[in-house]
Amino acid sequence: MHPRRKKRRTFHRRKVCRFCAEHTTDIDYKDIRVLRNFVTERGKMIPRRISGNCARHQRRLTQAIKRARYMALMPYTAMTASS
Amino acid sequence: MHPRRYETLVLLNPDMQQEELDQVKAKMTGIIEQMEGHLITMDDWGRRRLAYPVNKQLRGFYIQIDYSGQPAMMAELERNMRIEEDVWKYLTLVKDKEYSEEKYQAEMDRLNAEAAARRREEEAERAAREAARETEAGASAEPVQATPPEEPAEEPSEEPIEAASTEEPSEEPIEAASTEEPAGEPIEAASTEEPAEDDTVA
Repeated sequence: MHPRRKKRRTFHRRKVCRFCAEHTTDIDYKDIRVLRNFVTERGKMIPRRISGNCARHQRRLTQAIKRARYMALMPYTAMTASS
Repeated sequence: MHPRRYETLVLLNPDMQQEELDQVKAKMTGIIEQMEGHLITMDDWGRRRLAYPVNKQLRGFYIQIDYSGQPAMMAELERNMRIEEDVWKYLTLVKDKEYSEEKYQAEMDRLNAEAAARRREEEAERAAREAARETEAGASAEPVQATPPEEPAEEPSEEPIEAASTEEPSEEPIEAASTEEPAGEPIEAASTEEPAEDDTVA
């Protein structure tokens, strides 16, 4: 089926979901201190395969970040040194 | 219909005068009372730097309101916020679809208990510090360690509005807690300790 198998293997981060590990009940959009850990320097959200979050928490996290952005608690995009 | 538990975060003009701010807050509490809702907490976060300019401004005044009531009441609150020019943004969340008197009582009790406990801790800390100072004063001439400020430093300039203290609904005999003791720990940690964040990046 695949005439050409790409040699690159998707490397698996065995990282555990931070929220699952701590049994956190709530991911709160107001808690930007926590939220900021999952956003790049430019303000972009970090994908799950990097952050290691489980699907459920990543979804909640996304929702929280979007809310925080709307209420100007977090930026949609952050300026870098070059811009 | 069940009353519902809501949480609204409001972003207002930071250059409002104190009276205007009070008026807006009064209007909101008025609506809650009139439509037979319960105000659980109204917490001023105070002025904060915004992550991006809103209404051409870089700072804003946040208020967090926790309350319960009928959906119609919430709709009325939102309608009023939309009308109000000084309200720039608001975000309302439903925290509980099946709130009840019992839940309300339980929550109020819990909040009061937490506030009381925190106050007791502060008292104990202060007492301990006093005691420590006593012993030190006799022993050495070391400078006394200044009492770490409980309040995060607010900007000295620009005060048309003062951050008000937490207000509890009138039927509860609660002493007013100070500004940095809003209901709910996670909010406190996030907001009041960082009144003016200096990092521009996310």
